[in-house]
Parts: sequence; C-alpha cells; structure tokens
Amino acid sequence: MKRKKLAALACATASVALVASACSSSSSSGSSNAGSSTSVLSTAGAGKTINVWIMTDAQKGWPDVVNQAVSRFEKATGAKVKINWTTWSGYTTKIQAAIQAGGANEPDVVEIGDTDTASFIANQELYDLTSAKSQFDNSSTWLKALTASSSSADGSKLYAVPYYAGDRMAIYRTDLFSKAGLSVPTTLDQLESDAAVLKAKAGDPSLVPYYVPGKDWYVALSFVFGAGGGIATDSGGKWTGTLESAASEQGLATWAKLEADSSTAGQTKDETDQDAVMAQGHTGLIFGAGWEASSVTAATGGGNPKLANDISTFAIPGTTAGTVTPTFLGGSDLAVPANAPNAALGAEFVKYYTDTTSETLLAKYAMPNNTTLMSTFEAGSSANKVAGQAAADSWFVPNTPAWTNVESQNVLQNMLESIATGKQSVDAAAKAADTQIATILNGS
Amino acid sequence: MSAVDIIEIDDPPSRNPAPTRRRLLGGAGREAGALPYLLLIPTGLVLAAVIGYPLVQLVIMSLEKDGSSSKFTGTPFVGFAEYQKVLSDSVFWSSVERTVIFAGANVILSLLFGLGLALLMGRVSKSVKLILTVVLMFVWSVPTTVSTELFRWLFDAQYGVVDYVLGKVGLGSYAQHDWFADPNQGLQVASFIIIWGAIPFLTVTLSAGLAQIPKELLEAAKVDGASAWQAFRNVTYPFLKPLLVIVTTLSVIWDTGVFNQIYILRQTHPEPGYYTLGIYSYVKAFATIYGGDNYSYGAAMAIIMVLLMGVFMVGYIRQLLRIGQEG
Amino acid sequence: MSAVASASASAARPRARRSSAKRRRNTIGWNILGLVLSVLIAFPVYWLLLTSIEPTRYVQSASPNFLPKAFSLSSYTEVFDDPVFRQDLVNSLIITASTVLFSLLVGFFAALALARFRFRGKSLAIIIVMGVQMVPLIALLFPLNDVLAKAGLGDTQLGAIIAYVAFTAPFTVWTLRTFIANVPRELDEAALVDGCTRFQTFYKVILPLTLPGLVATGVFGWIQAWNEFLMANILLTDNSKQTVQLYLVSFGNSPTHGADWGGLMAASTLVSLPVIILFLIFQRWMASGLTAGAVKG
Repeated sequence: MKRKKLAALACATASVALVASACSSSSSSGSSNAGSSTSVLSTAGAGKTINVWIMTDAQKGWPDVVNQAVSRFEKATGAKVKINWTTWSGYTTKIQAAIQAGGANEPDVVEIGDTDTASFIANQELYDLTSAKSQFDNSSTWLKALTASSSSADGSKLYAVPYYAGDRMAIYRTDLFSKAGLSVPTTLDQLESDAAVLKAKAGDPSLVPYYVPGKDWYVALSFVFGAGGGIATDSGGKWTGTLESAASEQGLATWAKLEADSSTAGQTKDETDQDAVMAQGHTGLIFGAGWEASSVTAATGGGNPKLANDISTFAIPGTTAGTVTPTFLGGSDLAVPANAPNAALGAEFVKYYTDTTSETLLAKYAMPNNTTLMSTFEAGSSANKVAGQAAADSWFVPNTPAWTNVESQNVLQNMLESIATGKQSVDAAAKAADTQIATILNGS
Repeated sequence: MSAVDIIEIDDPPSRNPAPTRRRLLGGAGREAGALPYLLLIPTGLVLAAVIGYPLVQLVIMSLEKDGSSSKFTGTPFVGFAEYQKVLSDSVFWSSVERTVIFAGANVILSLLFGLGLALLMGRVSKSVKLILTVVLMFVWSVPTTVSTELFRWLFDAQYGVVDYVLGKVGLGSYAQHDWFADPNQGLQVASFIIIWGAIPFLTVTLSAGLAQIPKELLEAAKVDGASAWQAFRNVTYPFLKPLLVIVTTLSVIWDTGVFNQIYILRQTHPEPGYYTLGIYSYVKAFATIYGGDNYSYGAAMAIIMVLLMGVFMVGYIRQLLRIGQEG
Repeated sequence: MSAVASASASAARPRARRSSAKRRRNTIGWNILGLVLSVLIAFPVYWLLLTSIEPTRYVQSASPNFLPKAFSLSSYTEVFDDPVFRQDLVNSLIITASTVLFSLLVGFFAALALARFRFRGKSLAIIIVMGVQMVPLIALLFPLNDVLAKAGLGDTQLGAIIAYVAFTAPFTVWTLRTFIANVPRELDEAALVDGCTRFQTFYKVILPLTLPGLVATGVFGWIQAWNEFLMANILLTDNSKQTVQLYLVSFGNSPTHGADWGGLMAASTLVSLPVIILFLIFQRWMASGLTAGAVKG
C-alpha cells in the first residue's frame, strides 16, 4: 500500500515536469479559457497582474509560504501577483458578487471552504482544471475528502485544488486526568465513563469534565459516522436522510450522553470559543482542532499560560480498543473563477502555491493537502501527530451541490441543539432533520 | 398659532429703502416653478442609481425562476409563483408575527428611553451632560458586530457577568442560567442590545430638536403654572413632532430589518425560534449560494416585506405627508 | 401658544424665587439619575475597554473581576503598528468624511425643496425618499454591486460613498427639512426685504439656525458610514481600499486560529475615538439654534 503510493508520486512528479516544460515552450498567448489541455495553465504573464484572494489565515499563519510562491511564480511567468486578504465572514457572497459583476476587478484565484466548493462548481462559476490535474504536484495523493470537494459530483471533472486541511481530536488536561487516576481512554465507553470519575476525583467542585457545545456538528456527527451511520445517501439521484437509521441514532445518543453528562452550559453554544472556556481552568476536555491546544495556553486572546504543561491531545477513540472515531476533515480549496480575466495564469499560480515546495513549508503550520507530506506535518508537534493519524479515518459531508444550503439553514445545529436542550428526543430530532435534508438536497 | 414675538437679525442691512417684497425662492404656498425639482435632482439621482435600479432588478428576479445569479440570462419568467410560495410558507408567517411583536416592542421601548434621556439631558448640569454625551457617543460608535459579541459574553450561562451578578444579589436561580435556550428570552436579550444601541441616535437627535425650542416658551409655560406634562404636551411635543415621526419611522424600518443583533448573538447559527424576517430571509435565501430559486425566493420575500411594512406604517407615512405639506 | 406667551407677563416674583430653589434641588436629583444611567449604559463599553488593556483576559470568567488586574497597551500598539490598520483608517476617514459632506450638501438641497416649497409631486418625493429605506439592504447587494461595476465604479471608494449617501439620505433630508421648517419663514423674508440675496439668506439666516440639525445628521451619517460592513465587504474588494470595519473582522476566529479579543477590542476602541472626538468638537453647536427667540408660526 505504502509502496504503491510512493510509486504513484514518482509518476506524478515526472509527468508534472514533462508537461510543465511542454507548456512553457508552447505558451499559448493567454487565450481565454477554452478548456483545451494546453491552455488551462499559462506562464505567459509579462505585463499582467493577477488578483489573488486568500484568507487571512495565511497572512497570520504562514505568510512565508505565500511570499515564496509569489516570488517563484513571478519569476517564472513575468506576471505580478496582487494578494488581497479575505475573511471568512460572508465570503461566499463576496466571491459570488465579484464573479457576477465580472470585469477587471474580478479575482483570478479564490480560496473556498471545502464544504462550499461543490455549490460554486454546480453554479458553473469555476474554471475547469480537469486536463491539467496531473500538472499539480501530489494530485494523486491529495486527501480524499478535499479531492472530492474539488471535483464535480461524479468525480470526473476537477474545478479546484486542495489547499490545506484540518481535523479534530480530544484536547485534555493531563494534570486533572492523572489526579483522577485516569489514563487516555481507548474506547468510547471508557471515554464516557471517565467523565464521572474526573468530576468526582479531580478535586475541582466547579469542574466541567468535558465541554461539548451543543451546536458543534463536526464533533457530533463524528460519533454518527463512528457508529456506522451517516447523514444522507443517494440512490439514483434521490437523496434520503439517514440520521434516523439505527446506527446514526446510536451515534447521536453517544454524543448526547457526552453532552448531557459533561457540559453544563454549552447546550446552546457552538465550538468557536471553547478554547477560551477551557483556558478558564475548569474544563477537563474539549474536542477541537490541533491549534486550539496551543491557544488554550496562549498569552493572548483569552488563553491561560499557566496551563502550558497540562494540555495534551489524543485521537477520539472508537467503539472498540484500537479504533478511532472518524474525524471531520475540513479544509480549504483554491479555485479560479470561470470568467476570471487571467484564468490560466491564476491556475498557474495555484500550481505554485500548492506544489511540493509550498506544501512542505505549509506543513509546519497546517495539515498539508496530501498524504505524502503528512509525515512532515506530524513531526511538527504531538498534536499534529494525533491530527495526522486521525485524518487517515475521516468523514465528509454528502458531496452534492445543495449541501451548502443544509449548512446555511443550520439543519444539523438545530437538530443537535434540540437534543442537547432536551426539547426533542434523539429519534424525533433526527427524523425532523432527515426530512429537511431530503427536501434541500432533492431541491424541491 | 401665529406668535412671532421678536425677530432679531444681527446687523440688518437696510440699503434698500423700498424693497419689492420678494419671496425667498418663490415663497411658501406658491407654485415655485422648476426650482424645487432642481433642488431634488441630486438626491433623486443618487437614490435612483443606488436603490432604484437594484430594486427594479430585485423585482425582475422575484418574477424569475432562477435568480441565483444574473449571469445566467434567459431564466424563465414564472410570474408570481415565488410570491405564492412565500405566502403559503408557514415559517414566513410565523416570522412575520415574531417580527411585528419584536420590532414593535423595540421601537416603543427605545423611543421612550431615548426621549426620556433627551429630556434629562436638558435638566442635568453641564458636567453630567458631558459625561452622558461621551458615554452615548461611545455606545453609538461601537459597531453592532462588536457590541453584540460583547453582550453575548455578558449573558453567557457559564461565565457571564449578568448571571454572576444575578446569582450574587440573591436570584440564585439565574446563576448559570442559559438565556438562549428559550428563544423568547433570547430575543429579549437581543432587544436589550437593540435598545441599548438605539438610545444614542434617538437621544442625540431628539436633544438637537429640543435645542431648537425657544427657552422663553418653556419658561413662560412654567411661570404660567403649567405642569411638566402640560408644558411637554403643549410646547415641546409640537416642536418635536416632525422629528419624532421620522425617528419612529426609521426605528420601525431598522428594527424590522434587525440582523446582526440576532445573527451574531446566536453565533451565526440562529435557531428557528429566532427567525425574524431579516434572519429568515437570509438563512432561507440570501445565504445560500446554490440552488434554483433561492435568490428569487428571497427577492419575493423582500418585496412582500416592503409591502407589509408599507401597510403597517400607513399611518406614519400619512403623518409624514401631512407634515411635509405644511412647509 | 400665544396665550402662554402673554400669560408669562403676569409671572409673580415670589413664586419664581421659590421655584428656583426647587429647581436646584431637582437638578441634583436629575444629576444623580443621569450619572446612574451613564454607569449602566457605559458598562458594556467598560467591559470592552478592560478586555483591550488586559491581553490575557477573557471577557467571561467564573468570578469576574470588575477592575483591571493588569494593565498593558500591547493590544493597542499591536493594532496601531499594523500598517494595514493605518491604511484602512485613512480609507475609512476618506469615505466617511466624503459621505457626510456629500450627504449634507445633497440632503440640504432636497430638504430646502421640501421645507420651503409647495409643488406638484411633493408627496411622491417624500414617499420615495422614505420608502427606499424599507427595502432590506441584503436583498439589494448583488444588483447594487452590478450597477456600480457597470458604471465603472466597481471596487472604488467613490462607489461606496455614493451607496452610503443613498442610505443616509432619508434621515438627512427629513431631519434637515424639519430644522429648516422650524426657522420662521418671516426671517428669510425679512432678510430679503433687507436686501440680502437669496444666497445670503441661506448663508446668514437659514444655515446658522439649522446647525443643530446639520450636526445631528452629520453625526448620524458619520456613524452609519463609519460602521458599515455589509456593503463595504462586497463593494470594496481591493485590500488597499478597504475600511476599518473589514479590518475588525480579521480578528475573528477562523478554521486555523482563535479570535483575538484583546486586539478586536483595542481596534474597535481606536476606531470609535474619531467619532467621539468629532462629536465633542461639534457638540456645542448642537445646543445653539433658535436662541434669538424666534418662534415658528
């Protein structure tokens, strides 16, 4: 298995080199996006400036990655790169408005959250990269979920390039766990029963053993997938919600138990400030992204440096020892608007920004877009190691363009909150959500 | 009502011994030719470009099947199908009901507070007035995105100051109380933020209006033995009325369209119990980037909202017109 | 009202003296009420300031501190040293100041038309000016962006300014109309009689007497434009043209980092200051107005 992957990589890089040189020698004169294999990418950039929209995550987290990609790209193509930093707040509207208005101010490259990419693809708003796929480094080892999000629903066409990923793990207080005589749980049952032990023995009367916000669907749905359930299935183009299946409901019940036993005050909240909540010192464990482990102890933004030696991570265990609960693999894709002024050049920039050089650098800060570089990422920290291993077993949302509307209508959050607050039973809430999901996905 | 007691103009230039009595710009109560139209042109142009044209587009979209993106030209015309869908949507109607109650309460309460504070500003000493002014300006200048986030913290169940203080003063049942589990209570928190945010605008505007009332009149009323209420009713209110009508109208418009104070309070995932028209139209239509007729649906909903508001405010619009015709 | 005025002549002296003592006592009462309300209203802002000067502080706590435990301006220096912040601040100043000036100018003309003339279509004009506010902004964003792009104003500050003027127009026009209408018509007529030109009449009579209105609407326009996010986010895409409100959003949390609350609070305090300073400068003009004792008929 491993050998196969390596072989695939060798092939991929070789072909990249070949095609890239072929491309640069026959540099088609910036012809518009016809979609033929030679003109998908272009290096003829003299006198041109491309407009690149990237999220501020890069500006704050890995500006060096951006800088080196820009300078290599500018050297190779003669084009200039104008980076415009964007923020996640309302970004889909912003991108869509820009695409719709077109013209000279339209971006040539945009960053899109991976659960939103499918709808941009379905709206025919993205530039077709299919025939150039092999020219992107590591395209054969891109993370599965990210590749799926970047492709058309049937997987035959490529419209975006995976950029980076992220997943979730358990972040816990080592001091409290050892005080209570607990070690890292190896099964879900153990994780569940540890909460009571922690509460009883950690010696903090106001301790919340686990802080599980009631709206964190990324975590909650992990237990659904761990129990063998899922969100929805597609048969012959008709979607059916499967949250009411026995397996899914079992997963939801597991989550509900963790939520109810442990989280006294998070029923109506989401996960965005759980690191700051944990930093208050009265929380034994949260389920979060790797970076949250360090922001709990950071010296700014509500962190608590006193906890620096007391925070560690582990992968959320599965139902039996040795297995893990699959994690949601979120991430970002890079894409080129179909009607971008310099689409082929934009695609060329994406190539540089996601090539092995860039992604190797990026792996210091975030999970890279492919499995080949995962070891570099895992070497970075113990949290990275957990994250990288957890990514091997991940789940993703149903890959259909209408999915984004399930998210924007908060269907899953509403279901989870009504379970957490006890307004609805697991069964009733799951059934109600299934109905809504089916309505949205089948586009009535 | 025709008491012009004194007219004082500094340094009256009296070089014209026998002036023909011209009326300023043609004068009141007379047809004034093209001049008023010329004066209205700049505003008219800006409104036509920024709101008029987009509004026409919006109406067109609401009549088409696939309005999600105007670059897909040639989308089929479906007439009032989207309107029918909106009108038969029970969530829409429950949102209408919620919006009417929510906005109504917010308008009334914020106007009462605003007017009360404006009157108070006229009675306190200079230094207190300055303190109040600085506080109000601070409140006004905090963007709703920031202030809502702030209030969300203050009302947090686990670590919020509000629950902490309520717990300390003996309302033990409110320690660790989750204000957002019950949407009606959560909306009261939203009201709190809205009223808090509206007070500066109302107070500043209304105290500017109060400043225009000649002090002699109020003094006279007082000396005359008029009660505070009578003085307010007979002197202050008539002066303030045009301003009150406009701030009420605007408050109704704003409070009906409230968005951030609910959306951010619910951490950008508002539950159905929090659906006001602004929130519902966003969640259901404008936030969705994919899908046949979502935008058309939203457009139809927006038009219906405008019409409903127009009906709801017919009384106020009539007031505006009556006041406007007095000029 | 004239009855009241004539009755004032019969004011008895002793009663006046008694009432002035009473008034002083009342003022103390009002002052206390004013201070209590100030504290209550200011509390959230105080919490904001605390967060901005205590970098490790989280706004929530199991046992909150009502006084700062540490003092550090690091959040402020971090924000102020950021060239992006300074650039965005300048952009915001340009856009906001232009919006206010443009809006007062355009609005004053329209207000004059509504306050001093009777003309055919006046009701329609009022309905249009007021009615446009009712359309939810969020529904207009896409078409608005399109029309500005078509006019060559896509991603320009001028485009944003024009959009902001439209959204401040209803209040500006109506408020100025009210203030102009409250200036007795006899004043402009007297001025004309006395040989003022029409322009001088505006300049010397109407304008000074509508100052409170101009200041109030100016502040209103300033804050509307200064705090606007939704349109700015769509209309201004180039980083070098963006406003501070877009900058504030960058402190929020994202998939790869948590929110920087200290930075956000420091930045929004810095962003608030121009408004407060400006208002304090203009504030005394707001108390001016019809001091000459002229009364609307």
